[in-house]
Amino acid sequence: VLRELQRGLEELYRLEPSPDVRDFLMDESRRRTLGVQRQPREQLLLVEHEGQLEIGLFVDPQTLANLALHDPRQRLGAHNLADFCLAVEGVSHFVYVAFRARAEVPISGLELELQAEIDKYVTCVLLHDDGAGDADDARALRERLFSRFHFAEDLSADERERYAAANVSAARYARSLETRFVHARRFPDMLGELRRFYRMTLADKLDLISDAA
Amino acid sequence: MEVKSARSLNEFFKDAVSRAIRNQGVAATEHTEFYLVNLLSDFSRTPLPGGPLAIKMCEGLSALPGERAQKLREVGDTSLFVSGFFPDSLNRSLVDVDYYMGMGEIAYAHLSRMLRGAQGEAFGEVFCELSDKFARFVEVLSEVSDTATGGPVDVLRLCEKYVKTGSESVLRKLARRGVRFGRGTVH
Repeated sequence: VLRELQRGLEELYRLEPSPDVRDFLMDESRRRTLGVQRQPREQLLLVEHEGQLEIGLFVDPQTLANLALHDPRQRLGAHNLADFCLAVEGVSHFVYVAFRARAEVPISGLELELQAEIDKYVTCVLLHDDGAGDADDARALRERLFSRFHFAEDLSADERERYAAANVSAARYARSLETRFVHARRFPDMLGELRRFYRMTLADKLDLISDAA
Repeated sequence: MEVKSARSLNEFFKDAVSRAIRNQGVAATEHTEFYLVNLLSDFSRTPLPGGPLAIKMCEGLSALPGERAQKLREVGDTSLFVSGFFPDSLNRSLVDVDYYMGMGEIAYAHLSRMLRGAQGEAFGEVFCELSDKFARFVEVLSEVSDTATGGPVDVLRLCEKYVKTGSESVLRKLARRGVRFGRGTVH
């Protein structure tokens, strides 16, 4: 599933292929040896050493098992949506870091989270069984992703602030995508905008979101 | 140690900003020049607002109009001041000075659009000018910063910055201090 997601995002954004995400997967014991402070169900770990960027991705094995059993390409619903979103988040972080590292452009935590939130919405819309153009489905999905969620209790104040800011901005952008493209089934136009958006600076992304909203 | 009063601090910044605008060849209205003087005076009296600028930008853009103007102005002012006065402080952060400047430019652009046709039209023009020539005004503040600091440590810092960035502006600052780079030798 992770490899398919990686290919999907790279195709969606027309990116140069990055190394296979599966080669960077780490298990719980490896993560523990790195001494990380928090152990969420999905985590991208980055270490810069002598000018080289080392990346490791942890995704909860139960999430991967559920997605293997309930393939999201067959049907996306209450039984696999949360796990699918978790996997998209991890792969989105991986692909975006690789993209920025290739371009030697620095990246902030907020940029990563914002892009991951948008990737979750877009992949779910494009995968949705009942026709992505269905206005009610798209709205329900947006509300599910951006309104009905809770923050992990062990987040620091800074992390909570960052996730909240990413959530609010992504929700506004998703609503704007829905109004301008999804309802009218203008998917080629939406993909064109998403590709431009992906390559923007954070300031320009926030500017576009504000204008579009 | 000489202690400057608030009035003399304003006068100091007024002279320094006027000189820097002239030296950098930036066309700026009187209102914008006045805004920069006040910005420097304010930041010399109060500590910089804490917290990541990008989060403030997100909050500002999604806030209600009254609060939005206040937050965006804080983003623009902080970005301009830090980029001009303390760009090296960003070396220790995940983001670079371009990222920081981008935030300020966009924040001022939003403010100018918000104030267009409103009562604060003069402010709208100031924010428009600050946004359009953001990088030039960063250079202006950078020159003011050099005037306000100076000394051998500052020259060393500029040398390091030039070696790292190759910036023509930094080279000019070094030249004003009598430092010439040539054929791999520093004089």
